[in-house]
Amino acid sequence: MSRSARSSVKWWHSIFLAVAYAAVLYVPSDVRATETIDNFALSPEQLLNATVTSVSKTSEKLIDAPAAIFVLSNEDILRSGATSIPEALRLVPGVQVARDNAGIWAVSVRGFNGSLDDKLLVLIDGRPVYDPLFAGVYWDIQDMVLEDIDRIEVIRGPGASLWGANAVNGVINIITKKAKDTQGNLASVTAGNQNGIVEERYGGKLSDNGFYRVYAKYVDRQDNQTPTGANAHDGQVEDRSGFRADWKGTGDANDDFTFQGDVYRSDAGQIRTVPILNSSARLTTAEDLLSRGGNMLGRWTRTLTDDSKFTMQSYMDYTGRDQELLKDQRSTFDVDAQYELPQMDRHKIIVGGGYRYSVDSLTSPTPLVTFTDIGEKTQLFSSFVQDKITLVPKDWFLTLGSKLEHNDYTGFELEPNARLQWHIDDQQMAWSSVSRSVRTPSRLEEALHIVQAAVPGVSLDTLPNPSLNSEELIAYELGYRRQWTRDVSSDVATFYNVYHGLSTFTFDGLFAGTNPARTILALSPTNSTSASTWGGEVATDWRATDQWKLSASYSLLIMELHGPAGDIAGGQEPETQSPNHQINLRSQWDITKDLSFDTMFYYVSEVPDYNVKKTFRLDTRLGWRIMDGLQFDLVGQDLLDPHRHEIIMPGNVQVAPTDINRSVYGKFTWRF
Amino acid sequence: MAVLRIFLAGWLYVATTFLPVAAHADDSLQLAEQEIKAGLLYNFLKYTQWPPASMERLPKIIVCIFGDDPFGGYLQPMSGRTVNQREITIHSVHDISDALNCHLLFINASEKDSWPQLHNFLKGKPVLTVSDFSGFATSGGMIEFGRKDSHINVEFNAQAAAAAQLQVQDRLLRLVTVVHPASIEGGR
Repeated sequence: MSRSARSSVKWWHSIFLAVAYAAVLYVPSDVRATETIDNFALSPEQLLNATVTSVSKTSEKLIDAPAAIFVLSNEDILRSGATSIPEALRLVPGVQVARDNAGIWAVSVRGFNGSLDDKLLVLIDGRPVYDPLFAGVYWDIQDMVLEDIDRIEVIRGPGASLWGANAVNGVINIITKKAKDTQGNLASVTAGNQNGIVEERYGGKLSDNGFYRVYAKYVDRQDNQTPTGANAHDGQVEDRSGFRADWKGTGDANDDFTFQGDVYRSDAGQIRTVPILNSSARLTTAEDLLSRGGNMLGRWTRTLTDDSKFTMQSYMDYTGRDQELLKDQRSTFDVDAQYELPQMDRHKIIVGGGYRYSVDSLTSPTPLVTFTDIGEKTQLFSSFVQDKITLVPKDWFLTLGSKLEHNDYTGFELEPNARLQWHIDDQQMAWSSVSRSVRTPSRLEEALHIVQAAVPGVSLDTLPNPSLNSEELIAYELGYRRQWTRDVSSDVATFYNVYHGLSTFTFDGLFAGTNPARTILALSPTNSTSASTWGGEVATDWRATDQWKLSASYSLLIMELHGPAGDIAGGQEPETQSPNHQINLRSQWDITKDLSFDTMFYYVSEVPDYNVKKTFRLDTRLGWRIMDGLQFDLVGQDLLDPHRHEIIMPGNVQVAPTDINRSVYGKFTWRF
Repeated sequence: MAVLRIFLAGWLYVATTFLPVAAHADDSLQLAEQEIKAGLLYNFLKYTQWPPASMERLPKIIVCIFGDDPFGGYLQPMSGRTVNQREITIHSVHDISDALNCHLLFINASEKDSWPQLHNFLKGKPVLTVSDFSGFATSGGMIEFGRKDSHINVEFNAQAAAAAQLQVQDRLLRLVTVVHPASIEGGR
């Protein structure tokens, strides 16, 4: 770890300690904190005089949302047996999940999957966790106490009009529970052939209307092996801790405050082979991927009336990542405000604006990676307006909205969206949407010069292109949702996406290189590729009995890319990097009050460019509630295969492929 | 780093300004909507008298939810508690015919369409019916939870309760809006 990195970690830890200290200080200042409200002990007068706190209606709204939304509930996540967030996303239709190794994942929505997927926006409690370095998400460091997740909302299709650039193919919204809903102690221990996890969370009261929780989690994921049987050096050790406090303001105004934060360290790994300049030899090492970081977020919501509120949110985030070829650090400060106006005649308007300031610093210990600048300060200004217009009361609605952003790479970006929704009757809803979204260039494309391969006297390099433009998507969507009976519901969504200006590498000429002197065969990113993709997802839920729930989904994805001959996306063919067909079947069965048995079955059609044949995968979980507050889970993952690889990067000889082992683990969870 | 320091200073300011205030919040109760409704259900169990026959037949107080449980976990803790020396149990009911065994039946607003049928089936039976969809008390239901500004209010259809041989004590009735049979008929 470099000195500056170490001081950053120290800095974060001291902030965290200060906050934890402040939280502890405030707790005993209120004697009532020890009392809990028993709503059944209240008199009818007290109940009828009580003020109703704002109850989130988001989950109700989702049913009516005119978009391809899928929600993983807390129960879905825990019952899936997943030990990480990307693992749980396998359940979501239209999402491609491929595991690189123990800690590294590739996740995409509606295509373009890869470890550096750059068309997806992931938010944790409103804080984007995508990294501008490659415009993607480092999944190895996105973790939390899974029991504290309230739900994960996955929106397939552009969410740019609300969320802004990079919400191109989809948005994954990870929402944690309110501190009030995580009171008391939760401790769990997971042990198995691939995972060892220990976590502890404690939730307490700040006051009658204030709650907090603190948590700590330690994860140890075991090494897998390469297809030739060698150790893949991909194990991961991660530890993190964090807190969340929610409280209500005093006075007549209906104010809610949230303050939360996390700090973490992670050591993931892989085997990397890198070229040696002016030599045909290559160097293979077991590489550590060292990450550390932290974040703090505060949110203030003032509920003005039943249907109007004002929200202000601010966060800062620090991420540092040391890889063999590149060390990067980034600090981000962001503030956003949103005002939801009350219904005015036929108009329901939401407006918002935001500002983000981001500073990074890059260093490379090798001549293989160089930069046009070693640090960059970027600013992002954004604003949006959305109007849901009632065309025919209760039946027809038209939502028009747009985001207008200004970023330092490509200037102004307009991302409009129009959505029409028709409530056919109480059981049926149809919707359609047209939207434009963009993916702004990443730091990698804009500033990094990387040697990809070398022989004596010559090297093949990718050069940055500072004048790269944004990738553009025009998306057409059509969806239908139906509640067939009380127990059966279906959701169908289809899409036709047209991409322009996709960034792919084009041969840029021959250059005389220095340090060491050589001829450089240069490739640089250009916006010369276009694409069209189409497909859809069908999902059906059937609650067969009160004790037995079945879910099934099918996802179709067809991609066609058109670019100048010779253009390459890093030597790859995105058309065949995402499966054409995916089928998920899931059964959640409560055998008795204390015993449950869940089965997840996945079919993924072949992914030729990643050298993956069609896959049948079976996961099961047996849950036993030993007594009140004590739960035991026995989980088997990938039971049909002793090991398999889910991704082998083509044309990229740099990272060794990994065969992921079948995983079996037991987990004890105490709540007290 | 300067920006981060400013940000941190800002947050310390917010924390020091609001946290102590929150810790000394005033005494007016602030509860989730479903928490209040669950508490009210308990009070209705407490202050309602069922005909002796219905009490003899069933040793426990049976609270049923027709459709999905809309209480978000706030009602379940009532299960196992006692009211008037009887233990409360909570059941989920999906078939109309099962509703007969209930002392109190809460109808999820999403099951609104089943209400006319349910109403016909339960007419005159000693089942205290409760829901929170608008128009419930004026369409034969007994207790309707509504919302007025930031408070929960209750409409009570005395005629329907009387026809079912259910007596709700005045202790409770003076706090709720009693909907009169005449006005119901007149309103149609």
